[in-house]
Amino acid sequence: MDVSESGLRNVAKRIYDEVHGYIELSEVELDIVNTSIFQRLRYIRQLATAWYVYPGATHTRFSHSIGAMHIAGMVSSKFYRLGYIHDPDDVQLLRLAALLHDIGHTPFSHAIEPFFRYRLGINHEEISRVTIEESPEIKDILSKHGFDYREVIAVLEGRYKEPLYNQLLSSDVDIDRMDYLIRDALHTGVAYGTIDLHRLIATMAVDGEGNVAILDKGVDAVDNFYLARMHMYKAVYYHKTLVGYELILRRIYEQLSELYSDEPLLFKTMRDIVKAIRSGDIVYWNDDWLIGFMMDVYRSRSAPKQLKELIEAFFKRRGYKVIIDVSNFSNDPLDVESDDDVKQIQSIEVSIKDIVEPHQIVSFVDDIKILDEDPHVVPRIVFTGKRSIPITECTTSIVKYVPRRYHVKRLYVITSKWGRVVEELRLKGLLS
Amino acid sequence: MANKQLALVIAKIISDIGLDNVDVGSFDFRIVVQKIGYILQKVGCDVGLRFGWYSLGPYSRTLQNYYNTVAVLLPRVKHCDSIDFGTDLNACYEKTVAFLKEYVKYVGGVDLKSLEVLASLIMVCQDIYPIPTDPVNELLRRKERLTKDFVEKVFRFLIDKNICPQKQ
Repeated sequence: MDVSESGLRNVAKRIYDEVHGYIELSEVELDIVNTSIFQRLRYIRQLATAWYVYPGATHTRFSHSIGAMHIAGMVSSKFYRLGYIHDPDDVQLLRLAALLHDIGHTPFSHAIEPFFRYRLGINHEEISRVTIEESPEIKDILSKHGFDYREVIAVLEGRYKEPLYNQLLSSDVDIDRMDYLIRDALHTGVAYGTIDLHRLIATMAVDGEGNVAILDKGVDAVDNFYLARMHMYKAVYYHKTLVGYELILRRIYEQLSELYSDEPLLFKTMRDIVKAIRSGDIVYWNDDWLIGFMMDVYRSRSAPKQLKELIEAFFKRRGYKVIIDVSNFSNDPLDVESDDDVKQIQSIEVSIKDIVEPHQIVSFVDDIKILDEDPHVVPRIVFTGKRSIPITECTTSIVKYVPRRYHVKRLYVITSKWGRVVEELRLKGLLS
Repeated sequence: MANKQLALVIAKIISDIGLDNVDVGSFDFRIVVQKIGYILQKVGCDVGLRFGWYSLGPYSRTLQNYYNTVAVLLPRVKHCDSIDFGTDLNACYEKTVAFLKEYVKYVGGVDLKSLEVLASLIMVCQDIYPIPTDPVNELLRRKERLTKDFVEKVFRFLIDKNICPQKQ
C-alpha cells in the first residue's frame, strides 16, 4: 500500500509549521488535535521561562507535538518503504504516539515538573498515560478510527512489542529530540543548536539486531546532532538566568501548593489529576492559569509576604541571580557528596544565612548527560551490510571526544539582595 | 543521581551470582546492571524503576545513573557476608538472590547471555504490549542468535515460577 513521505494514506488537513513547512494530518490526527485536551498544549510553552532570556522562545508544546508527529511520519514511512515496518497502520500508530507524547506536560513544563516528580512522585509520562486512559475524548477518537489506546500508551512507555518503535520514540537520537533541537534553536536564535534533520533521516537504517542505526555516510550528521545538543544544554536548557527563573517559579508553585489547598488545579495526587481529566477541568491547567493565579495571590491581602516577594520578583524580572557558577564539562558522573565545588557552594550558602532569608537563596546542582553511552540506546553506525558499531567506537566520528556530562553547580540569590551578598562574600574573601 | 541503597543491593546481587568479573567499564557491565535491576524489580519488589523494551531486553534510563556507583561498590561488597540494606530492601534482595541462584543451578551457570534471556523473557511474558501468544517465538524473532532449546528451557523455569503462563 502506498504511503506519502509523511506516512499518510489520506490527508485531512495541512498546517503550516515554522520548522517543517506544511504538515499533513490524517482524520484521526485532526480529531485528536481538535480535542480540548490537546488544545491545552497551545498554552504551555516549550521552554518554560526561556523567554526571560531569549524573547523569541515563546513556542509551545502544541507546535512541538505536531512537529514530532511529522518527523515520526517521515522516519516510519521510510522504514515502511525499506521493509522494516510491515503494516502501514504502524506508521499511523507511531505518528499518533509522537503527537500525544507530551499530552501530560505540567504548566511551565520542566520548571514545575521536578515538583511533581520529587514531591508527589508523578512524572509527565505518567500524566500522559492517564490522560490517554481517562480522557473519553482521546480514547473514543482512537477507537473510532480503529486504534487501541493501549498500543499508543505502550509505545509512549517504551513497552510496545516492537523494540524498533520504542527506540524511535525514546533513545539518544530520537524523534522528540530531532524536533525540539531545531525548534528551540530557531526560536532562541542559537544558531549552533540546529541539526541536519534531512541528512539524519536519509541515512537512517536498521542493523542486524533490529536497532535504529545510521549509515556511515551519515556520521557527520550525528556528530553535528551531539554538538548541537551540547551547545543547547549550555546556552539554553541550563543557561544560568533561565534556570534562575525556573527555580523561582518552582518555589512559588511549592508555596502555592502548600498554602492554597482549595485551588482545584493545584493537584496533590494522581487521583486529583484523574478527576480533572474526567471532568474536563484539566484543559485549564496551563501556563496562563498559573500566571493568573499568581497574579490573584499577589493582589490578595492575605498572601504571605515572602510569597508576594517571590511573585513580584518573577513578574518584574528581578528573580534569582547567579552568584557562584562553577559548572564544567566532565566525562565522569558528579559525586555530590565528595565534589569540592559543591562543598564550597554549601559552605557559602551557610555563611550568608544571616543576610538572606531562606526563600531568597537557592543552590542548583545537576549532572546532565550529554551522551547516553549505553548499549541499549547509543546510536549505532552501519558500515557494511547489517553489522553496526556504537558511534562511541567509530574512528571517523568526533562523538568519542564530546564530553559525556555537564556538571551544573551554582548558587543563586534574589536580585534585591545580590549586591549585598557579593559585598559580604568579597569581604570574607570567598569571591574574587 | 543514584540511590546508594539500591546501588548497593544491585552490586551485592551481581557479586553473589558471580558476575562481578565483568569489566565495569564495558557495555557488558551496563547490560548486567540493567538486567539485575529489572529482575530485582520483577522478582524482589517494586523499586520504582520504569523499563522499556529494547533489542537488548529491558532497559531503564534511570539505571544509567547507577553504573558508576555500582562499579565503585562492587569490590566493597565482594567480601561482605551480610549487609543491612534496610527492612524493605533486605527481603527484596534475599528473594532476588534466591531466585537467581536457583536459575543459575537450573541452567548450569550464568553469563551475560543467559541473564539477558531471563530478563527479556520475563519482560515478554509480563510487560510488553500487545501481549504475545507465544513468548518463546516472540523472543527468538528478536534475537536470532539464541537457540530455541535454551529459550524454551528458560521459559519452562519461568512457568514453574508462575512468571510466564503455560503456552496456549
